[in-house]
Amino acid sequence: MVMRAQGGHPWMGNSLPALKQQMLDDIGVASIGQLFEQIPQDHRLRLPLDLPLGIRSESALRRHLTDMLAKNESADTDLMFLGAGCWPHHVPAVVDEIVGRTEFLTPVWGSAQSDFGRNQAWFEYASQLGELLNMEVVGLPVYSWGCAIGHALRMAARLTGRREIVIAEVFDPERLSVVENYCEPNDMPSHIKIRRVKVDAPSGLIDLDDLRAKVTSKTAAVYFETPSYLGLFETNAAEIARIARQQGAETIVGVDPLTLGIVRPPADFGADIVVGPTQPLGVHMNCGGGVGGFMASRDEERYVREYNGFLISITETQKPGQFGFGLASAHQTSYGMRENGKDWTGNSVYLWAIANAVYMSLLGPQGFREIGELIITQSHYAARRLAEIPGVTIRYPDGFFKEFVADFSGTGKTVAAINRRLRKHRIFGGKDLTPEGMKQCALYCVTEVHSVEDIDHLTQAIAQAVKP
Amino acid sequence: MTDKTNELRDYHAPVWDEPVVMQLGYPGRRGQVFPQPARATIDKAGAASTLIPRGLARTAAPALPEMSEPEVQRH
Repeated sequence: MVMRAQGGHPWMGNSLPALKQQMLDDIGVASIGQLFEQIPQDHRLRLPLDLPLGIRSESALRRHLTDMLAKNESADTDLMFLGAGCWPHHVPAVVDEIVGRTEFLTPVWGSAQSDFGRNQAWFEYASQLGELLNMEVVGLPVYSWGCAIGHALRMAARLTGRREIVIAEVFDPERLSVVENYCEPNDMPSHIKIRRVKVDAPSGLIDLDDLRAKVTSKTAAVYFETPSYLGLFETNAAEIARIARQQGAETIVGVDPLTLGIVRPPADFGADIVVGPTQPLGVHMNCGGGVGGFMASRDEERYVREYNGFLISITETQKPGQFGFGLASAHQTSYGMRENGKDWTGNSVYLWAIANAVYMSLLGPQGFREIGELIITQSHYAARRLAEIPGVTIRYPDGFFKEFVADFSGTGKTVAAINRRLRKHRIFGGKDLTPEGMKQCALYCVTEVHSVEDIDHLTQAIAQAVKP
Repeated sequence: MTDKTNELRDYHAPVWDEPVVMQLGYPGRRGQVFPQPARATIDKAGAASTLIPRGLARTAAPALPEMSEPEVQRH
């Protein structure tokens, strides 16, 4: 619907013709066009543009937008089993309520005058995540998990003075592209060489023999994930950390924080720096946003001095019993030192840090245990059910958290064709791994948002889709 | 008249008499409850404790605050 321009514009009180004329009269200009005389004719837009007029009526605009949005097929309206970097998790109502508060949502960033409790909320993000990770220092989150890995790798390179890192051959392609971005280009004086360690075929875990061969006195860091890209807990984490330490390399571990109510944190296995995604902690799957990455370490000066992002700190004020909060490391960021800062500080996801803080407060130790138990049980149920379908096998049937690899090659159907059929049942099937070299395999994600009925519905729909 | 120029002033930003979250709550309180895994899932897949690889299970719960939903909201 298009409304013709008429009368005043709701956002511009002085758009009324009489008022415009009055302003022109006051400054002694005959027409608005005269104000643009300094712009050469051939640089000016030819008005009117060939565009529909804007919708001025809010009620009509709302209708226009809701009609467009109603065409979407989304994870809210359909059943979704996609994960791989952005996962369907429940966001408690209180999280939305608190991040929507204007004290957090709209104040100008950065100054003490704009702190309406934000610094305390950030501190509580860091302290709660520290408890979950069993690490003392947690930086404010960065743009994505991939960015957190990149910063941690560069941190390790500065700490060790070495320019090589080792990561697994099987790696999320999106995170890999970010990591490469942080390490390359190779003609940059401070570039970091990426070496890839083999993954043991039967277990899906890092091949320890190959790791021993690849980690040398040149290695700055070994980075691995638990759960891995394909969903598997890295059961050799302690041995990997030992191999890295023997060569003087840092051990950097990526972890899904939602696992940490039921499994031990990477610090317990010898991780020096821990990174991971913050989206599972109370952030919706937003289009073009919502993801974030955390970074944590022990409270040792050598690490703390290398954080490129902000650390939020607490101190007592002059008033007994009162606390004050502030940014503790601004001087070593690129804000404080420009090109001499520790890496580029970059953008962040500070509002989502508050969502994460609220989420962790709501769950507490019991909530994290419950959600972990629910997810691991339901995901294994789903894997077992899918394995009952003729031709479908589960690549690594045990030892995963919320994601697992279903192999459809025995069905004679492609994952692409199966996923197309699933759309008829209003299901988004797992991520097709065929383009990544795992032919007719799909990465399925099952979380607390799914029910047994959902999984049974998926199983029946796949069974139909793979019938010859 | 005292020399106000060199006097250390109070913190200027808004302040609240609000404890940090780690000081709040009470053991056993919850702000979010998740369903128990359904019987059918346990019958087919086993209990969660059997699905966590050996040696990985967390033994000491994270020392997070234990709060009710209204407490989190008020805080």
